Amino acid sequence: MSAPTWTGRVRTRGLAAFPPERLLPDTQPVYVASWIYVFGVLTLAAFVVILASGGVLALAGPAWWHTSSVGHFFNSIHLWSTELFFFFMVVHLWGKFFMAAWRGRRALTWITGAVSFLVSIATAFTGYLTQQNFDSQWIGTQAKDGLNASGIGAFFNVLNFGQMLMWHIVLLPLVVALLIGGHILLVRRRGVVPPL
Amino acid sequence: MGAVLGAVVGLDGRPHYLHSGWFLISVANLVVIVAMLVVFALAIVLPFPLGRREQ
Repeated sequence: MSAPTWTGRVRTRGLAAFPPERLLPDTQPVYVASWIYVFGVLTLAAFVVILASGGVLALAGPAWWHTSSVGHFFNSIHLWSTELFFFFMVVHLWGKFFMAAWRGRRALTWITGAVSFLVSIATAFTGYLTQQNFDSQWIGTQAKDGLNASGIGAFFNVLNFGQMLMWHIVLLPLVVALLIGGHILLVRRRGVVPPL
Repeated sequence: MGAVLGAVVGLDGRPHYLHSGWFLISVANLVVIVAMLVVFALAIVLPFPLGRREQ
């Protein structure tokens, strides 16, 4: 018999899909004891550093990182954690590709990971557009032609600093965080893919 | 520290490119791609310390 309230039904279905021992397991299959299985959590760790350093940059506002040594430091942390994020994510992607990690009803896990990668690229792109230097001007003017040709230039204007900053610090990070959260829940639900 | 790093890898200089016909890549991008391939290979071949989690 289903619960009389929607909160009760959500709890019932949530507990069925994610019993505590599956959501927060204390053991993993022995085949997980390989360095190639580490790169997913390394990507996640880099993402946390990106969010934290981005939060510090947001506290002081744009342009602070050009005029302050502390700002330079956090700007560099934000850049290099992004570099590591993509580095780890690509190694994670290669590892999962050669494991055919979509096996065993894990297609949605693979798809959310792949889409996270694509949205992360868009997020990094808007970050490069909001550096407020000649590099961002060059990238913005070059990208403007391409995006106009694709037809979305009127809605996604890479020369509009305010719009790109909002996409970079609100919309796209939210999408990436939701995708990564869903990806991790799916890994918990289906388990870590065994080697071929 | 920044000056030392700059002296080693020339961060202030013009970027270097490898160019052959249609193929063009910056040395910086090539270094990152090669590093990813090396780390990928090491992650597969290096033994993982099992410790107490071995079962």
